[in-house]
Amino acid sequence: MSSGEEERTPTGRKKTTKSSVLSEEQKKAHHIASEQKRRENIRSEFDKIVSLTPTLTDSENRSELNILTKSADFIDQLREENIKLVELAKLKGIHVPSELIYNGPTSDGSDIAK
Amino acid sequence: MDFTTGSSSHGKDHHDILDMVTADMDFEQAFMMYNSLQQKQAQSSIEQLQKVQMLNQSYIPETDHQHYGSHDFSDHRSQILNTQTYPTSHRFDAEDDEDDDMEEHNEFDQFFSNTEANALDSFLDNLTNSTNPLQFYNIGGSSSHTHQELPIFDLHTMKEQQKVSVDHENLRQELTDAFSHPSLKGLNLNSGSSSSSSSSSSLSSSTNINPHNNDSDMLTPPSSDVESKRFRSGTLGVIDGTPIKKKRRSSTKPLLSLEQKRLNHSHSEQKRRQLCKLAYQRCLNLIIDIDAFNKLPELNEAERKSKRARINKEGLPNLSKHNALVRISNEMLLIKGMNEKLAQLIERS
Repeated sequence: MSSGEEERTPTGRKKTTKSSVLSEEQKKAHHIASEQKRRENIRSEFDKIVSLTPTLTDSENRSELNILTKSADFIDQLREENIKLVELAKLKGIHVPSELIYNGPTSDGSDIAK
Repeated sequence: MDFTTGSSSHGKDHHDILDMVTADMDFEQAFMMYNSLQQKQAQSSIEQLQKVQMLNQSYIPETDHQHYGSHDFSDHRSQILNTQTYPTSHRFDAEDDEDDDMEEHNEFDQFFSNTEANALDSFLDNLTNSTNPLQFYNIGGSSSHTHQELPIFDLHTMKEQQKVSVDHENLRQELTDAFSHPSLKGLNLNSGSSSSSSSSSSLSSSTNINPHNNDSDMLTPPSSDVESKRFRSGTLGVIDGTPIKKKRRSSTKPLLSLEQKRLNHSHSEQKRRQLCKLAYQRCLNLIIDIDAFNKLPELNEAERKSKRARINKEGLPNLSKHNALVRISNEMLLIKGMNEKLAQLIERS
């Protein structure tokens, strides 16, 4: 494509500018599309969290603060539940496999920039 | 110029110098003339400014006078337009008046703003249009006597005068709007009503048939205006006090409330953002081992696959929104699954 543009340059500038404008428009369209995609992804994740969290209702599926707060609350609740269940199992003399004991987040964020 | 002539010969050079001297003289003279002209212009402009200031200081009586004059003028114009039956002496008077009025008109014409000029024009047009010459003529023709004719005409002028008072008020309203001193509006309305009342009183009082009486009556509105002016100047301190207070109340209160609104809004917005931030940080702490994250070795550029920085401004993991949400839901599912398995284990036992 670039070679084609280079071929056109000696014949006339108009064509190259036109093609660059077009590519700019394409870039713009691309950017808009990707932004819409990003927002759609975020929305779908919001919906997922709302569906997972019992304290969140569909009516508040667009309130970021509510979602973050209540999902954090829910994770805390799940953690406490995990601890209680593990204690209960230990009380009952059941061997609890280590993969069922929650020890905080496993990710250290090393995969963020990759 | 010098360069081209200097290269040719010495004699010409000399001439050129002389020419230059004369040119300099001319220039000096011109400069002197220019200076004097400018001074004259400045003086005239100052004089004009003073005139304008004088007019502004007493703009209401002036305009009233003017108005009266214009009314007279238009009246006489209409009279002249349809006067074959008029008494000659009256006509002479009218012409004299007209001349005076014209002078006044010319003198003050340059000080008219567009709105004032428009108002005057419309007023004059109304006056001239309202008087149907033919009708007037027929009435005049039916009555051969000039004395019988006069009452009709006087009545006509009375009618016009009534109109004048209305237009007068309109013009005054326009003038006040143009000058737009809010504290004077009520006063102007008062004075306008007083002038109209005085004109109406003149209407009722001047039932006797006398053009001179009419003239004296027509002089009353300006005098009433003078009274109103006196009244205004006398009560200026009192009246100026209250409108200013009102103005302050009306202008400062919304401003303050607007300021308060703005502050409140920005404050609440900051609060909301802070809350969001805190909630997000809490979530981050729940999904990422921050201690381990802080102990991570710095990324070498070869390992990097995306341009994204790992650490954001606040030293927290630089997650995209979507990524963070995915991790949150994943964490939820993870713990949920653990708990379910645990519950199953407990149930089985």
